[in-house]
Amino acid sequence: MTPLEIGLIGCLAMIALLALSMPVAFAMAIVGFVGFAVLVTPKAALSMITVDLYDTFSSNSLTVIPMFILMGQVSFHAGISSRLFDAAYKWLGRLPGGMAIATVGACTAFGAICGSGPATAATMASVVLPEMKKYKYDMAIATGAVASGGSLGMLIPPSVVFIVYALLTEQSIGELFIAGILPGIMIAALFSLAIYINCVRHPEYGPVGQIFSLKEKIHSLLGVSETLVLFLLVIGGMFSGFFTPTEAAAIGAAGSITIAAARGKCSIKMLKRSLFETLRTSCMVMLIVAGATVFGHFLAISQLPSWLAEYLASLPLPGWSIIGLIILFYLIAGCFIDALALIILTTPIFYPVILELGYNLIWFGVILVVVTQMGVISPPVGVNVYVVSGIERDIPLQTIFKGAMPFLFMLIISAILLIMFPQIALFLPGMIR
Amino acid sequence: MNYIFNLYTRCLKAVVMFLGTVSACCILAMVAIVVIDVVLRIFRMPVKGAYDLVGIVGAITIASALPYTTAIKGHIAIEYFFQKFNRFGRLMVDSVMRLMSIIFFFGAAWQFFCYGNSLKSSGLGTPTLQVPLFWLPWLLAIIFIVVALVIVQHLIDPNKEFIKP
Repeated sequence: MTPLEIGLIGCLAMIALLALSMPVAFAMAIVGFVGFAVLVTPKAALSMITVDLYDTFSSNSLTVIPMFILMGQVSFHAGISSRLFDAAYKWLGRLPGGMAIATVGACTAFGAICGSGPATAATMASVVLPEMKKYKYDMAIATGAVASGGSLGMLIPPSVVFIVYALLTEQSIGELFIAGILPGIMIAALFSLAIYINCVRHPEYGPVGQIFSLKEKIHSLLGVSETLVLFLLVIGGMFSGFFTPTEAAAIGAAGSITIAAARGKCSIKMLKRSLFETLRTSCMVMLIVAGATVFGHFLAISQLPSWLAEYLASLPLPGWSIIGLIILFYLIAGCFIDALALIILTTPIFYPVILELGYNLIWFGVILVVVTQMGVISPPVGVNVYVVSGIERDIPLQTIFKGAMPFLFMLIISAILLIMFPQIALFLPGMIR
Repeated sequence: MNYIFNLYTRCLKAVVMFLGTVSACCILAMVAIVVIDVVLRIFRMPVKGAYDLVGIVGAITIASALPYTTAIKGHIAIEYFFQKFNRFGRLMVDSVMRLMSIIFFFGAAWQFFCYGNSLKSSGLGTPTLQVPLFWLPWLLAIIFIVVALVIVQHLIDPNKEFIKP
């Protein structure tokens, strides 16, 4: 058998293991190890897996992940989210569907201090859904707004998905972070538009909220100030060259703990919950990265990625259609596989293709996140939908999936806009450079 | 016999929770080291070897979190197709998957012991502080054994998490 054939068999074996519910990290590591042993020698495979696991665990650049996750978790448990929603509601509540639009606004703001989509959705669901129930909002649009708004946490910096993508493709974490800002704001605006149009057509879906005085509105901005300070400190420090991404993450984590303490919310119980949730998520992510490293070495030896890159580049098709096919693959696979796992799993395969086609890897990273964002609100395995359903158990899953449909449509429009106008993602990184 | 098994289970849970607590403390330590380094850098007195320390503490953080994450079934897996099997099929597939994982972690533990030995004989240390590193792979090896034992527990009782999150 040729190395290429073994590479293909390895990919099929991994898909089989994944379908049989083996954890993604274990499946990648086991297939990578066995494949490497077949292609080189079992002894070389043993050395490779030891070094790969050890290097991933002791990698300095990867320490950024637990620290950014801690920042988000502490912010979540400190109740920052409810103050963000309060401010957004006081400013946007008078619009048709104003509370749902405020939810999207609060999700966007919370995404600026929390790098995880499901965490943002979970945070906002517990804060806003009881309020929307009280104001007799249509539960499909309410839960759809939370699940979809939560996905913005994946795109707005700091984003765990961007960190991992940057490390896998050797891109700048900072550039990816800043590249996510404009698309994130654009998607938030499109989500708000979807809510507005729906609620203008069906006023009973999102009744108009109460009137607040200008004084109340301005006072509510105090609740946004801490998020803004934390965001500016972390992202500003990174772009001014004062912090490395690891330092920015540590400052962000320390800053969120300080804010929680200043608000009188930093109890031992709260800190313990934040830390244990952080270590669970970080370990899950890091183990997938370790598994992907092992699998990536096997793929490199099999020469499958370079063959695929050369093959796709030689096809008599324009580059954008190949990109379109790749995006279609992510769209379908994203319905079944977790967004982060999918990106880690497939980046070693598609990264050489994108390089060969001459596309910008920062832009492609943004596109990937937007496409996988669709996966977290699409049936059958929309993670954010399950998160919201777990918090609001009396709302059927199909209601939430139905509510997420207008937002899914807006994400498709966003992806098309990003493909047509790459500058939406590349404008800010270009300015910083 | 039942008493011994219960005692063993309780001990394993205690070890997993202890490692989880170590991991949680290490995250805080990591944040503290970096923040102190950044602050002291303003006064041109950076912490010597902060890079080395963060690397070591980071490795302990993630490794120590591994048994806890495994115990609460916190790893991402795709359950969609698996749920289509009947009960017997699910049990068989689950057992085979777990056996493969157990073999993998015991094998990795053995390799890490050997790797630690090789680091010890080469005398490799961290770049700045020259802290010996051989103990780190040994620690990882012990933790991998704990992970394998947790997966054994899931094999014995596949329907629930070994520890509730």
